[in-house]
Amino acid sequence: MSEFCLQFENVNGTGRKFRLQDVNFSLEPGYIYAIAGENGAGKSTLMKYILSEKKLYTGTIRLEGEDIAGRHRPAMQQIGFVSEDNRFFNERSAIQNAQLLGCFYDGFDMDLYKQTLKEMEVAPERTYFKMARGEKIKMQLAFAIAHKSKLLLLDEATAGLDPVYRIELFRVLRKLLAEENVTVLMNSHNMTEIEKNTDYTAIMKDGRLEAFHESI
Amino acid sequence: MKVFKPDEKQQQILEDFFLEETTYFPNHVLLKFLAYFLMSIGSILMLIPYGEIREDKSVLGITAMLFVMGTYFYATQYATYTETLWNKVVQVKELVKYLPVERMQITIFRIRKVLKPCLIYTFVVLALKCGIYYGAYGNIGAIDLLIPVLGMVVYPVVIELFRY
Repeated sequence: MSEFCLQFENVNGTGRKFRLQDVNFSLEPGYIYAIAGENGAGKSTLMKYILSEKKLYTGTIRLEGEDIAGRHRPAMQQIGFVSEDNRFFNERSAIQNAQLLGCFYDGFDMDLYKQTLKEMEVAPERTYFKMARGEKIKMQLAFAIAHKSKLLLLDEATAGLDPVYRIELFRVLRKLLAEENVTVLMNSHNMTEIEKNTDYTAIMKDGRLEAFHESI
Repeated sequence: MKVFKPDEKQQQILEDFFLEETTYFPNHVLLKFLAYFLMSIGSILMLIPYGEIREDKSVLGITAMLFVMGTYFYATQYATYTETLWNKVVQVKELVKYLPVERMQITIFRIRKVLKPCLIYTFVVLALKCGIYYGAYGNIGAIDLLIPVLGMVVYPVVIELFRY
């Protein structure tokens, strides 16, 4: 078992406006890591490399010490993705979505899901498309928690959220970190928010990622 | 390189998923009806004695096309779903992109689903053809056996293999 949850080793790739160049980092569990940068800097592409079934990069990405290339299913069992791009059944409720999509995970805990929704004050019977953006993000987070993710990826999850939702989101993440051996990697272009709420930050610019440093 | 091989665990998960999913999407009833209707018409036309057709062979293509359209509709219930409020068609592969299931397993699942009615229809057509031909002509040509197999099994599977 590796001491690191996620490792990037000499990862290179090409995006629309940039080239990801020699991305190297290792993330220990128990912390919130953030990648900051302007739009189009390569933050989301970095996450796409972790999530994509097809290997779109050169180099190695390890999850819990194992290379994720060609291991989409086991990797996705351990990853929870929270993003506006994440698709759920629009016309189904939070509970129906979990009933339909939870079956893909080995250990999906419906009770934990309901409990987390309740804690975050998301109505389980509310239809997904009727939810406010913040509620959708919270529902996705509850879904990720319920399948016992080791790595939580939050892609611009806080963008457009009002301060109350943001505070609530970070409160849930901190509670999760205190209880479980989880790593959170998020990206955002809001530097103030990142410095205030995360443990380590790295700046990404034109496809180059600085080393992670302690958030202020 | 990945081997085109079914993972029974993932196949069972997909089976459970679609069992749940179809209870939410009754529009699949129409797809099923269309599928069986076209496959039945295609199968009846497959009984035509192809060996006897001397001039216009286009009927062969039309017959196969009808059957393949039927299989395509049949497989669609495992490839897309419709958000009725917006009348928007969403691909299942998009929905499960970040879930622990491989795209290859979804393709295999769809092919397996399509293969079942294909094999049943082909078996019935071949049995009827053999019975009719031996009764009428006393023999059956290779082309009359080959075309149903190609049009009703091989072609639909190839279409599903390269779908999307």
